[in-house]
Amino acid sequence: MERGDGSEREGLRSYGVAGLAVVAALGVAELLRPAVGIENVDLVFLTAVVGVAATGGLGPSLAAAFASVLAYNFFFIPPVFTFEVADAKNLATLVFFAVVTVVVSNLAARVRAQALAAKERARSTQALYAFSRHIAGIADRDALAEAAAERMADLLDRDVIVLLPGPDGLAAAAASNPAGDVVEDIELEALRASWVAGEWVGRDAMRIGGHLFYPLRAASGPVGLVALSREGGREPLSPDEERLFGSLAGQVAGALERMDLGRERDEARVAVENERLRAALLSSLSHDLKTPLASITGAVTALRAGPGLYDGAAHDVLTVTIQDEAERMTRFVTNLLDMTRIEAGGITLDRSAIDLGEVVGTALQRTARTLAGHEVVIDLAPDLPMLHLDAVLLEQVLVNLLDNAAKYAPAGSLVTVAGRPAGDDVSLTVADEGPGLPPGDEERVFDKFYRAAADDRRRAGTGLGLAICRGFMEALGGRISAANRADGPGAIVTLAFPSSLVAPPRREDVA
Amino acid sequence: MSGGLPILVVDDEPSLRRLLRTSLDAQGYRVLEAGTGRGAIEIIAHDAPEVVPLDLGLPDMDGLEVIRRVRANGATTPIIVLSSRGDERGKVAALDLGADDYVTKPFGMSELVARIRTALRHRLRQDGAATPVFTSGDLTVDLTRRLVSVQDREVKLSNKEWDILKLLVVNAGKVLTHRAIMERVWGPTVDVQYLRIYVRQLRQKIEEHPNRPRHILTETGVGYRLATPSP
Repeated sequence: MERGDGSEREGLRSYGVAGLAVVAALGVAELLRPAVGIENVDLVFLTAVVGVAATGGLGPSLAAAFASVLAYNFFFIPPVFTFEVADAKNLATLVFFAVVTVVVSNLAARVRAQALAAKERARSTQALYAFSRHIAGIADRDALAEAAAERMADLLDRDVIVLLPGPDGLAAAAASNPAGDVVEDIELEALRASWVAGEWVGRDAMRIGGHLFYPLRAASGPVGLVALSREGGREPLSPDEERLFGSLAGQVAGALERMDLGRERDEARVAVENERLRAALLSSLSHDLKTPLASITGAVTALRAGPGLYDGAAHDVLTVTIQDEAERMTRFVTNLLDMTRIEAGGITLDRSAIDLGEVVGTALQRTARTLAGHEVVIDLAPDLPMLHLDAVLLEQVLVNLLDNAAKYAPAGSLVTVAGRPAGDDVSLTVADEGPGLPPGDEERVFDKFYRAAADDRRRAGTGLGLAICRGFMEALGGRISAANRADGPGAIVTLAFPSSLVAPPRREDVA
Repeated sequence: MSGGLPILVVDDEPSLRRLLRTSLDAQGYRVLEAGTGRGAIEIIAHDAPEVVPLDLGLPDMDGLEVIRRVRANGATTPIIVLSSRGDERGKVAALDLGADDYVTKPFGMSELVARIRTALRHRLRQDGAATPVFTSGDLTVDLTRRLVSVQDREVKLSNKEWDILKLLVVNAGKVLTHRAIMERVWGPTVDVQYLRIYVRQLRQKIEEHPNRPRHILTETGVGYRLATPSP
């Protein structure tokens, strides 16, 4: 292991430093001897021992203490250059010196160890904090597993594999560091069995093959497993490693649990929304199909029951009713089909350079009957560029908007279709003089089955028109928005086409 | 029942065939019926109907295939496709294969009858030349003298504008796809954008309200059609 080699080298160097410190102390003591006397030069050695203890730890400092005692005895205590001690006074000095150096080196080494431990704790606390902040921003299980594997491998200096349960049981590896690492099939089999059996609820660790497995335990129980490689690392984990790993695993498990809960909540919300839409569709179907069918059936049976019974005017009313109601049903079925196409993602675009004026013209032609009671103004800037769009889809968007204007704005009022360049973009608006949108509903009007008011079912028709407009505009690459007019009562819907849809201009003098 | 021009109605829906038979019969045509593509091809080969309204969705083969085989057999019988909104590709494909026109389901009976009359008129005229002077509402086009006037005022057209208008007049009442017009006016490689620019210019010259045209009608996603005077 790299780190083991490194600390061994580090230890040897510390002993070297201890030796050098004693040699240096010897030199300094020799220089000071004439001035301070041999009784006091022992302080020089003591200083060296304290220095070694503070930087090198207990072992080197004890070695330095031992070497100092020997050197002091050999070089300074008479008879010099022997390890003998002649004078009892000097013997006491030597013994005290030995005791003091050992005690001091012990104390200094302990202080150093505490400082190192504090530093290490600060580092892991910081790492844990950074990790918790990092995973708070992750919303995806795989990305979370990835981050967890990377961080654990980094802090524990072991290979890590994170295993999360998927739809088919425990997965071989949700993430690993180094990447691509997996647990052996045979290990996985045993893990799956124990996972399904619920054994991990009460288990803290398990050793299988080359891995140590730990649970990721959240409040609700285990949510996954972590495999640590056994190679080269201590077994079991050291208390510090245990603590660090426990915190990491706890954070990851908590985050996973939150994700699962969030997903369940989302699924529940979608289910409620689907139920609402289904109910709305059913009520819309029964209303929007049955009403015209009732009118048609009534009119036809009346005509058949009494040939010649209805005079010219009454006859006209009945046949016009049949035609109007049949057209209404056609619109409804068209809307349903369009909506289905949008939701199934089945819109294929047939893009070509189109002339907005031309599409406005065909849309007005198709809505001529419904808009017969309104006055329509077309106000298109003369320099409008051609746009790269699907004419059929855009025409349907305009038809729906014009139908809406006809439905909501009173007869005789003005409907304005205006087209303007807006910077490099192009905007097309349809404005009416109706009651406008309920404040705050500017976005909701594009929801499926939205109706402006609960009581205007008859007028509102399918409640799909604007939802289709939005779906088609998104498919075309444009935007649609609705608002109340700034210049008076009424609604205004804006179709915005970004400059990327503008067809490059062509010269008109083509050969 | 027996004296009128024969029309072959091809649709697999008996109720729609019954409706067409009843109304076309009342208009004086002699109505033949087929519910399958094979039946249609056979009747066209043996009974030589004058015009064929053809549904594209048949049980035994694609309507487009029917058109292909009928044209491959050399028959020039006008075919009017009964199509649905949203199937513009199908319409264009049918026209490219040699169909003459289309109506979109659900269609008004008067619309179908107008298409049938237009098809018959063009069929009868195939032998002789087109009427030299075309008039519709305020628009008059003199093909031989290359004169166009609107509300009795002469209108100057560029060469390409004239080529397009002339093509529309010769095919008055019939839909022409973008491609068909471009091929005959420019050649095969031109961008549809050119065509739209010229149509816009033409409308500015001959339409009272260029944005709500009454002569050159847009068939969205398909092509253009010159309106004929209503009978």
